[in-house]
Amino acid sequence: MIDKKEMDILKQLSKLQFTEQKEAELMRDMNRTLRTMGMLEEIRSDFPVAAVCEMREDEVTASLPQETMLKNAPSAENGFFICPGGKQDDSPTA
Amino acid sequence: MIRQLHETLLKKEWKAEELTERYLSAIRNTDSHLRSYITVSAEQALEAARRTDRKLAQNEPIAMLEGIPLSIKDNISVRGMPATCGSRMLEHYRPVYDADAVERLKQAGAVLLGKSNMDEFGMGSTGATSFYGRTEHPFRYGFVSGGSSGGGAAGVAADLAVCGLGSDTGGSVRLPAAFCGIVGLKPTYGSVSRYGLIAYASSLDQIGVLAKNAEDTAIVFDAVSGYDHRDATSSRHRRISAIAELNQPLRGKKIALLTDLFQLLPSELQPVFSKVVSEFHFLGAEITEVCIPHLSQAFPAYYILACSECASNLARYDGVRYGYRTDKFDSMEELVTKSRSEGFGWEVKRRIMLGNYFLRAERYDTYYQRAVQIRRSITCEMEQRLKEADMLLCPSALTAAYPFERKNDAALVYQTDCCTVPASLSGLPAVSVPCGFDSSGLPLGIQLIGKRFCEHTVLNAAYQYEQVSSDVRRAKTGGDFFGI
Repeated sequence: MIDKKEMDILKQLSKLQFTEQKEAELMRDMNRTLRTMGMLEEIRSDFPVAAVCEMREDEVTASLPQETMLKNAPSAENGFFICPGGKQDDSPTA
Repeated sequence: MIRQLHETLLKKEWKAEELTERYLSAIRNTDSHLRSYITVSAEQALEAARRTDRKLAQNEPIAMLEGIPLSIKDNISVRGMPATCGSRMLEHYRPVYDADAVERLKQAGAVLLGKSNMDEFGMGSTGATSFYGRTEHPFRYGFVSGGSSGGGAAGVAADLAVCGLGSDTGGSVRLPAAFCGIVGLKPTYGSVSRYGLIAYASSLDQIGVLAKNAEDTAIVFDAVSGYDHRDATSSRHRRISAIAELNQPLRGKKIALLTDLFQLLPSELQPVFSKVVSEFHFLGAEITEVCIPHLSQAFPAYYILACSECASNLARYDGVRYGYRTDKFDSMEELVTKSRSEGFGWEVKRRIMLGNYFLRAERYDTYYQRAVQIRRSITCEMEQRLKEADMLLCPSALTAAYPFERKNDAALVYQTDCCTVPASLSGLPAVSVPCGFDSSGLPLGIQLIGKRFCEHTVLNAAYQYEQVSSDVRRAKTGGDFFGI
């Protein structure tokens, strides 16, 4: 079952945050889903893995222009995506 | 319907522009209630129609789909047209390229009316999780249209498009088709390129067709299927034209009933489906019964795989490269977390969280690994049965459309999805065909599942069934408007 500690880990993995009330609601919902689904049977299967991918030549082809690809960026400048910098490392350098 | 409209264009009884304008006008008049479209691209549609008219004026030959107005699900990329996926996350996203299926439709001269409404990122069976408002059932207000391609199905059923492209991950084309009383085809995985289809669960996603009847479905399927090097899972398998096979008699064809699913039908619906079986028998098909081991595990296995792939695929939405970005943030971590939390709706967040739960190292074996094994077992068992039969037959769902208030009823969700997920897990082609009505008059669908790359077989059977079935809701062809 999913508890508060597990929810904290999942939120971090999912990069999501919730209000306290919504988080409690989601936890109940997820636990209900897991109960409904039950545990899957373990199947000892000798069936081969179905191969669906066909290999193709690795060819260099033209890609869309950089300017076009940046059109949907929330913030871009001089061919770069704009985003906040990483945290400053305050620890003393050697 | 496409064939008849094609003939009216050839005979110059209607101009393509008039035809398109008729559909645009119907959308303007009724879609504020139905909400089957998220975006309507009137100018682009009329311009495409005028191109057809110029060809006709010069007596140039036109292809079957030329000038035919259709809708595209909002998770399929059309260059310059919004592709919101029913989500706030992609509210302002405009693809800079066409999906392969869209390229093919444009090449065939089809008129794209706009982008149809859908459950957010394809996650839902009701049409209710769209950020842009729920799609109503075309025949009963307050009832679900089915999902996730609910907008496309409702639009076709309500004559707001001749046909449409949808996408099917666990039944998202077949289920809304069944609920709305139209035909829905999920092709074999690899038949139609996924290039330009915004991903939900890549090993299951497949672009499909929504149409009034089997013939229209075959015409559109023939147009959009084919190998595409830009999709690594696209197949080079030689295609057999579906339209060329429609008139083949069913005499001697073997149809195996999936008894595990027929047995789950509520007693009040059993007579409808028994009648379907007798009609296939009347058409000369040999009917047998088969069971598939572990079929009861198909739904949980599907759910685990779909959520796991969703958690992985939707990790790309970070508020940096494209998609929604939050207003206030102090760090990269905050930018990503807040953008995702504000941009995604409840159902998407729920499935991402569940997906990450299933994928955590300590329970990977008990969930993901077992789900993969069950998938493999069901696939091989279904293919084995299809060595002895030409196709499998089962209901498209164990219920007709239901009121929106019941959308969170877990038992009902199971009833709507359990019949469609086996073909999704196995990647086999499946078509849902209208087969009658429940006691309240809502449509029901029957599903034909074929051998890999045998869309022509299931569409042939669907077409033949339409010719004899008295209960199939005859397509309101738009013939009222167009005199056909």
